Amino acid sequence: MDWVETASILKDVLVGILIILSMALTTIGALAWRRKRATRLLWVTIAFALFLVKGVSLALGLYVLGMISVPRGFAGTFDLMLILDVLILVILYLALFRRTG
Amino acid sequence: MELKGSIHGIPLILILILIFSNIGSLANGTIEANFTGTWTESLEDRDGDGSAEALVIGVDIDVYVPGSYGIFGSVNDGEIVSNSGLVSLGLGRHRIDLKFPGADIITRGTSGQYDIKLELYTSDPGSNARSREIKTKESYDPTDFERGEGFPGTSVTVEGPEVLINNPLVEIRINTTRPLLVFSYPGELSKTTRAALECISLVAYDDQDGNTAYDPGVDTVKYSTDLARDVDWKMNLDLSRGFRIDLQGMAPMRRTGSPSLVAWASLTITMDSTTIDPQGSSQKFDIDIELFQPLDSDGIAIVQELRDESGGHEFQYSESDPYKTISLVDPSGKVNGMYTWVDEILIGEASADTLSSAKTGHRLDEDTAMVVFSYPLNGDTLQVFHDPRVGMDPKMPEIRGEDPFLSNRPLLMGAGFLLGASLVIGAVIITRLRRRW
Repeated sequence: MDWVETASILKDVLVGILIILSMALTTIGALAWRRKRATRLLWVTIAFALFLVKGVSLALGLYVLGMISVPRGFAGTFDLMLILDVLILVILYLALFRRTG
Repeated sequence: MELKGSIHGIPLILILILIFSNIGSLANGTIEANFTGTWTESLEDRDGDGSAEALVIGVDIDVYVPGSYGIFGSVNDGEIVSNSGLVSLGLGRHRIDLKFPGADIITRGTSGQYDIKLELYTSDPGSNARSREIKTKESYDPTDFERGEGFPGTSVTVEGPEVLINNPLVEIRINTTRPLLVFSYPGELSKTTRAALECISLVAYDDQDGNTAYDPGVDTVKYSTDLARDVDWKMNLDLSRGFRIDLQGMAPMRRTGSPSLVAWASLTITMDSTTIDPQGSSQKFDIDIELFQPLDSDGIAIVQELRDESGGHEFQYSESDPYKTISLVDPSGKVNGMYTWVDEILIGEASADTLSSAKTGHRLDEDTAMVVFSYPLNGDTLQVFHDPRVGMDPKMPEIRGEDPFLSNRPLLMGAGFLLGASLVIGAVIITRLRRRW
């Protein structure tokens, strides 16, 4: 398997992780906002929701509508962008579970 | 922000929609794309001289599942064929053009409306092709057409001791010092689809068992020559109009038992740009034998060896009148390469102009197949002409049409869902355990 093929597989997995993590964070944000009604929480929730929109749009465009095609020459960059997105979400998600201090 | 209580209401339905909308397409029998029933037809006249280089049929299809699709078309039961190659298509209606070359219509076309059988295929060799038959709205005549200069997309280059013909769907390497043809798919696929055809010997024989064919070990060999060892091969390459490659050798056919007695024969193997298959997946080559004196033999035979150079293929012989074919079949049962011929030959004294019939035999082994073409010698026969063909499965993506995009596997996105869900649930569990402690 060449590296482009590997990048292709990684892309599919990363899209899945991106959707689940952004969905979890959006849900948590929405729950927290509903409880505290703080404007800050609303903005954070919207930011997470945009990540979710990004993930779902990618999935729809790639797998359902066929409107998005990733050029083979862009494979590495595309994966790198997805990895960074996922890392940002993972760090934010783990930060939720850190004890204060 | 702090997590309190369990997470409810995650819209799992969205995930399920994404997964299941694609699982359906994996099942056999699902309609992924279909003909709309409409098409256009036009003549392509690139040089504007009034004679067309190709008949272009634009076929409309509806795509229900994005993917790679191609159309294979044949006029008059395969007399003239065309292949679009695979193209990447999204949802919706698309038009795919099929070009039937003028050269083939001139050679094999008829006057009137053409019956065209269309087959819609996908990149998945296991999927069933959808077919439809249409009749052209207009009538055409071979005189409406002219021969284009070679098949578009064909290149000929000299690489060391080989001349390389690169067609859209087949790559043929012709050794300049041996009668050896190596054929494969172009590009990376050549590593797994390579086969070699080598002319081993030229034999004049007396038929002992009355079947007129040369049967090694049974019939009496009167003259023979080792085509690799005993013949000095010369290649002429003409690229002035398309291409023409002549590999010519003078064969000293030594008398069995009296090797000093030599009968001379000229053997020429020719490939040119007018005998490429219309879709560029196979190449016909001419075998010309010229004897410099009549031979006191019943026939003359070329013994050839077909080798699977990539490994893993099985040879299979089949006949579909008038064609005889040895196919290279891969472990999944897919035919990758083929060596095809008809028994019809031309023979004669001054020139090969009399129709006759060759007898052909074969023996299939694991990695090699021996193929023997036996040609009758009727007293004054000095010339023999035969034209077999080597090629690859035409229903494959063209090298120039290789999908430039990453492939998409929605089920792997499902694996990503599982990984993400594991991370989310794992974090929740760890947090709860911590609180309990």
